[in-house]
Amino acid sequence: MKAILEATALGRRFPVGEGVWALKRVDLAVPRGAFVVITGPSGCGKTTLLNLLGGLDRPTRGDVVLKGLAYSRLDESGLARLRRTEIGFVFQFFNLLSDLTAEENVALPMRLAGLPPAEITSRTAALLEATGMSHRARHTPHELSGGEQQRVAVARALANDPAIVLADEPTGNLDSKNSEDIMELFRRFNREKGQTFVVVSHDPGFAEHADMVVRMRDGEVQALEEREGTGAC
Amino acid sequence: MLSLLEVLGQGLVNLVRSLHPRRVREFGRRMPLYGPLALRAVKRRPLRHLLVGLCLAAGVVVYLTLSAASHGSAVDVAGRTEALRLPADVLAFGLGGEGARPPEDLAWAAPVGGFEVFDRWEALTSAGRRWVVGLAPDSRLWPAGPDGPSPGPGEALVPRRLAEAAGLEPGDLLQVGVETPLGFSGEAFVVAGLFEAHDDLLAESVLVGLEDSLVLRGRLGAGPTGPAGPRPDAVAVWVRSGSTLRQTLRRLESYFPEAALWWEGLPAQVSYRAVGRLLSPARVVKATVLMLAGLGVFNVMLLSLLQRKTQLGVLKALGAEDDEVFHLLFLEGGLVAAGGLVLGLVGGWAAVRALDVSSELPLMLTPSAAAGAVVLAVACFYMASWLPATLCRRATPVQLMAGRRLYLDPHSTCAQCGRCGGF
Ligand SMILES: Nc1ncnc2c1ncn2[C@@H]1O[C@H](COP(=O)(O)OP(=O)(O)OP(=O)(O)O)[C@@H](O)[C@H]1O
Ligand SMILES: [Mg+2]
Repeated sequence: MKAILEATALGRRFPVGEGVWALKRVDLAVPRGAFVVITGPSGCGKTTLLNLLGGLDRPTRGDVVLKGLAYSRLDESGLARLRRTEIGFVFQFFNLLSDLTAEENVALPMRLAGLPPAEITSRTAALLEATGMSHRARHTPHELSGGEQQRVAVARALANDPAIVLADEPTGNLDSKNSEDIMELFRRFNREKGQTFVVVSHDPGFAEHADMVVRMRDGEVQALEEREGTGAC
Repeated sequence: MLSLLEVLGQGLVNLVRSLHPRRVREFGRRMPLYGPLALRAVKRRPLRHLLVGLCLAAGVVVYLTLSAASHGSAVDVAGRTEALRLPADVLAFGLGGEGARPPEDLAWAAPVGGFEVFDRWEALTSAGRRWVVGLAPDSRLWPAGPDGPSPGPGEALVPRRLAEAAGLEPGDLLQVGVETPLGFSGEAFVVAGLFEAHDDLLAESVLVGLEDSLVLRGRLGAGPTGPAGPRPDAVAVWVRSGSTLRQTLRRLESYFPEAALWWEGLPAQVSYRAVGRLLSPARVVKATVLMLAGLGVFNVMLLSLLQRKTQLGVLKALGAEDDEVFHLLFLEGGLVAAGGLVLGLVGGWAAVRALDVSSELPLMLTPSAAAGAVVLAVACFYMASWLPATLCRRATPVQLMAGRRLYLDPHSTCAQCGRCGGF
């Protein structure tokens, strides 16, 4: 199965004190349509890895290639354009823009990408419908519960129909019921739309249904478990 | 230190680059997205932005009021000094020094304003070594003014003090010339009148017609055995109304670096000093108030950024480009500053009107003061917005979202050193 996202010899060093190698060397290939879960103890570099995969940070060494496009060949605005159209993010703390309503938050990536207004309106409605948030479309984030905010965030991540969705502990701040809902949402989009997911999570619920589980330790991949049915599409 | 300079230099380059018409146009195309975003950000924090607006408005009001007061006083003082006998706007200017080229230099002097050539050279006279000053018939330097009577050909005016010292009286003859190896060579002028010298320039000078002075000087230099004729060394320069004395002096000094300026004791200088005394405290107050307003705006802009690090980071993560976020912050600041400026202009106008009615101060609000206020307010807003916007532009989405400290240069030695603590 062809990899949609590939990391080679990826390393990230933070220049504090003597320098901290948060990520030492990671090689990873994410097949198209796969559901990948990254786990590992706290501080092992999961977030660092996800940030590099999403082009939110630059590696100290190594490179990431998404759909044949190497990040190292892109300047900052090229990388921004790539994030805009090809990558969806879901964060632990939801990170909705507090000045915007739920539907405006979902529409934002599409507006950044310059989609026609009519299409934005219909896609926004469809995404809110799919995440079960239609009835809260006009509410601002602080009028929503954590679970609701995360659903809106999922809708936002899927707005531009990205090649890949990256989620950093998306259920880390939710109770078990809401966590289950979010997990179910991810699985559904993965199953029905063939959306590729890379999720950092301690939640065993994610790992259970994953096509691939990446276990990390000390900035390196300790074990890589590929499950039955890898490369769902 | 060097790296800080590098960072600042790079910042300046980026600032200029971000104002490149193409980039601004690109942002303009995105206005339907970012305009409402900026407006929303302003509207969601009404108290904070009201305070910024008021801060700037207060600065503008003080600026306008002080400008009106100082301009009014300047006009007032200038009006009072006009009554003095020597025109207040005349300067005497010497073209001394080796290598001075009066005709060329005078061509340079033209943009300064109206000027008058007066011939001035050192002569040996029967009343001692004196300056001979040749003035055109309509010269402003004639003791009786440009419209008063001036001496005819072969006549001279002598300062009263000099005449008394030399025992000269009207009707006497005064020898004027130079010493040559063959003895004195010169000509006799009739003392047509005496005058009171009001300034040092004329106190030691014998005044004759410009024609007489030029002809005599030329003749003295023309003899086969005589020395070259004495050099002329002066022009009189009028300050063009509208340009300040200080500006004119600076220009003259740049045109004629080796020359000396005589203007001590002239009414122009007296009024200049008087107005300067009036204006200098006002200037300090104006500058201080605007600086404080700028600091206020700066602090709130910075606070606004630091509190929204995560949000701005998310915006970048979602694909907003660095320049777009930079312009967005400028737009937010600009909206607030524009509000403050309008408020300040209206408030300033009202304050001047109110003071005009209620006080004895000579107030005069000019368009240039309003323009100055606009320019300064824009500069103030610009400086205040630059640092927050630049910090945000340069930070990576991760740095912003994780709420990390921001440094002007997030990648290099600047962030590694971190001694300043960042923002
Ligand atoms: N900006 C930074 N500066 C210095 N050190 C950093 C920075 N970001 C991360 N680190 C370090 O890198 C290591 C990996 O961090 P990272 O956030 O990737 O861990 P994580 O696996 O996501 O942990 P958690 O499960 O607790 O979220 C940690 O030791 C952390 O202290
Ligand atoms: Mg983490």
